[in-house]
Amino acid sequence: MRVSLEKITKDFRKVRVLQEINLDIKDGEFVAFLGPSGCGKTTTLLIVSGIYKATSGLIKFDDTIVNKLVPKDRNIGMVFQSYALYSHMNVYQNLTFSLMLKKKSKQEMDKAAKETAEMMGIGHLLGRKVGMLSGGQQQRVALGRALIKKPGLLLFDEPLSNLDARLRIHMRSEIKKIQHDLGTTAIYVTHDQIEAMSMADRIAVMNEGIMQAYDTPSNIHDKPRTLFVATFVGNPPMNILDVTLKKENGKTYVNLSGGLSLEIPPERTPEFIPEKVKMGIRPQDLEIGKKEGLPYNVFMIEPTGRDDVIICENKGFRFTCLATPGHNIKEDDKVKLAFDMGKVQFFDADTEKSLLWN
Amino acid sequence: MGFKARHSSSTAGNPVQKPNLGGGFNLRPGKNSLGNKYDWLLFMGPAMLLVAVFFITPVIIVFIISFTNMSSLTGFSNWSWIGFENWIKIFTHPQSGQHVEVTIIYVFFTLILFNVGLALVLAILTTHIPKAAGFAFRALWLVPRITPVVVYIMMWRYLMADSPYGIFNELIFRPLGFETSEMVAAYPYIAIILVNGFIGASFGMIIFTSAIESISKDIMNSSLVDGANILQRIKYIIIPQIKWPLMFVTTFQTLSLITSFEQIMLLTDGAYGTEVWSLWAYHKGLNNYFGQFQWGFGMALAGILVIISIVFCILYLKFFKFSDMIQEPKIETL
Amino acid sequence: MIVKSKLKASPQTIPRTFPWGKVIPFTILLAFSIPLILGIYWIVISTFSVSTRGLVPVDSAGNPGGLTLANWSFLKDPILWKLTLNTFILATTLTLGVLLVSSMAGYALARINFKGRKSFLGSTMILQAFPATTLLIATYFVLRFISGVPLISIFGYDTMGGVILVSISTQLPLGIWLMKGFFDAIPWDLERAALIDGCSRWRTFRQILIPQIRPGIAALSIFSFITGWSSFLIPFSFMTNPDTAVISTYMNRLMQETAPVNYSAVAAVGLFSLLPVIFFFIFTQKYLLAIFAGGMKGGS
Repeated sequence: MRVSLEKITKDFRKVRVLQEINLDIKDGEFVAFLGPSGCGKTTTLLIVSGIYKATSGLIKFDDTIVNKLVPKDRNIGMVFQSYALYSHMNVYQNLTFSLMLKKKSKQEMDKAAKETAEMMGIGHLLGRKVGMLSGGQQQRVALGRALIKKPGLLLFDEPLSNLDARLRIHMRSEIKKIQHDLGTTAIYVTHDQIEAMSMADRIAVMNEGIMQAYDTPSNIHDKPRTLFVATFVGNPPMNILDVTLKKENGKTYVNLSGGLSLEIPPERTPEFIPEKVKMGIRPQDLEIGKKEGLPYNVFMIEPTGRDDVIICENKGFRFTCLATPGHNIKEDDKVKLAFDMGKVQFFDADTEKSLLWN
Repeated sequence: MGFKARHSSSTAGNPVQKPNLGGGFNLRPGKNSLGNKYDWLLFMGPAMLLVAVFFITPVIIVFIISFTNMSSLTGFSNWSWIGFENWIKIFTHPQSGQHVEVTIIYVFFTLILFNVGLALVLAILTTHIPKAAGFAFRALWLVPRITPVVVYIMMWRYLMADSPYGIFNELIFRPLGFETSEMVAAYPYIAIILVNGFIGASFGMIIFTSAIESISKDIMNSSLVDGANILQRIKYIIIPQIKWPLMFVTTFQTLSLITSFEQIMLLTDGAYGTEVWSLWAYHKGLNNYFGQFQWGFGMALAGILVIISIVFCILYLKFFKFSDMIQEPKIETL
Repeated sequence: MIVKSKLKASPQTIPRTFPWGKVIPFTILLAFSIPLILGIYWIVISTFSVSTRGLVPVDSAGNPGGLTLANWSFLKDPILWKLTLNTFILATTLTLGVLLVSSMAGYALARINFKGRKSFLGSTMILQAFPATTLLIATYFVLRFISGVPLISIFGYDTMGGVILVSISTQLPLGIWLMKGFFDAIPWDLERAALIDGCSRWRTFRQILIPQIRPGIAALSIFSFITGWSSFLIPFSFMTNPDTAVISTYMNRLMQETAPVNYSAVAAVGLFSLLPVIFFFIFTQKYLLAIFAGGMKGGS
């Protein structure tokens, strides 16, 4: 099922919480809504599901306008953060509740429940009360309940945030695989960028009710369209600094504080240069050495296991960089940072829009 | 499993269960099936009907009939409008002063000594003895409230009866050589205050107990570390911390006391000068020994109580911020 | 050495003080509770006595002794069972009515957006504090009017139906508030899931939400049943027919009319009517305390 949102706006009382959201989802596509809490991603999801009404704008499933359809007529399945299982029913009853409401026969319900439960690996639990299940098992029941009616669209509202870290990684790949095998269109709301990056075909990054970007995970990461996307996606976050750009002899240079000036390669040179510019560079694109580059003090070292995060400082300005363990760097060391100028980003400081990607 | 049964026991016999009244969700998709805008009526209907018939209508009736001379002499057909005559009569009636006086005495002393005072003492004491004992005492004090009022009044009548029956007289006064008496008749004010107070104390007790128990343990412990004894703790920690529950109970119980007469009616039926205002209204308007009802005048007497009640209710709404308890619904399809 | 022995000895040398902090509150509580304890004790003892002097059972001549079961002979009286049935009908119908009406209204007020929701919530709060006793005289007129209307005259004056409806109404503000509070506590996602699964609002209410608020239903049921079982003023005011009398009004007549009141016999009826209440109370204290704390209307 294709989904498209056209200029969706939502007001709660008089506060605008969504501003003209436009979004197209292809059939079978897995789209993640990513953003900090309160950004409007769950509200958007609830508008798609029919729980909330859009203040204005159109929601289309395939080519049908569904604005006025109630949730049950939208052919959707939804998985909630709290699972929202019917605690007074057992697993079988939870799974088949929607079928029962459609007055399906006992045989159909049994067959569907068996298939779904087996797919979710909960076949042996059908008779249990849901209160007696572990978190992971409840999660599977919730997923099964959404899948059993063979919906055209699957909606996920932060479904993994109540699981422990190990189970979360496991369920991540499992959900992705099931969605891929069934070929069902899916919308997945999360504030966890790793979930979004690893599961989604495309990611819609939202902030304060505005859609900041809608693109593939690699484009979101490598070609951020706004300052917000650049800083929200990527871990550790991108370093941002105020700079000025100047052109000389057909080449463009960036002036850093301390009078240093670096040449920008042509593919990263903005066409239009506003007065105030912010430059962004990801920690992995900074190389710590002792010989070449800009001089910095090592302020703090945070081991994360795979990499060490190293925070360097010069004249009150801090950079986050990465180093592989065994690097021999200690706090208060004097180091030099080399910039990979082929990977820098530039943003208009006033509009916070990228100067490189539109 | 419950969800196969079409009617669960708690909803049996309700007329709105007919499925065709189920509202917009049964409409065909594609048409406007955003849920019937009036489905809420289905849920609210019965409550609204009862409130309209048994709260709003009576309030209106009180004020309408208070402007008539309707009584058991005029019947329901021969009455006439008499303007403010009943209301003026309230101020000129020779007994008004006495009824106001006994009402004030009764409300004031029951409130201060029992509904707030004893309630606070009970709450503080039962939270300072072992949990099980505290619970048992609170349960004991709830017994008067849940006991059928007729049984409760009978118990008090016997407690205060004259020798050789009465328990107080037999156990306390006669052994000590005091003169015995029928105590309800001898000390009518004390009797009605005691009888109502022993019921009333439990309301404040429960509310104060939960308020005291919700005072943070850290505050209590730090006051112990600072060396406060129990009286200091009551004065400096407990009372200030439960200021709002105290005010709530005081105002709420004031109104309850002003308008309640059930116990007094059963104990003295207004004899010995204990006819409080609300009982006076009840006697005049609805129930008296001679079967002579002055509905118009009774309604005016009740009207005074209705006005007092409305004023109190508005004060609650203003001061206790009930509107904070209202949350916005988070489903919009209906 | 000395220091060591001192250290060792010190735990034992702490004087075992008398626990005044526990005993004093306990004693005060007991003192205040004496009338209640005596009264309850008397009710029990007198039902097995010919008569009592203070707390001492006596025979007809006034000598100590005189224990008897005669006071309980009313158990063989069919009238009593008729009264008990009436009282039971009043209490159960009241309970069912309060549950049904207030859970529906509580749900709508907690969960459905409709015009006038806030004003209805506001008026429910006002009604909670509003003393229904002030409206008794006017309610009499309402019931008289209903009596004159065909079909609904079974809810009129001097009928059990009328008494039940008035009783439900007086319980309603508390019931609605309580139910609304319980509905407020159910996660929204549960209801959303049911709507997506295909439930109507009514079905969601009945099959998904009602099972979630069982403790609230239990609390309100018990409270309503006890209130209905013990109620006096409303049946007394609006039912004069002895055929529909309930235990409390019957007892009142016993105490008013029989010339020298046979307290022991009345006490036996009283204890009999108190039994279901005590039974409920003992087994459901926790629920009841919750509901009392939740904002009960103070009787007096």
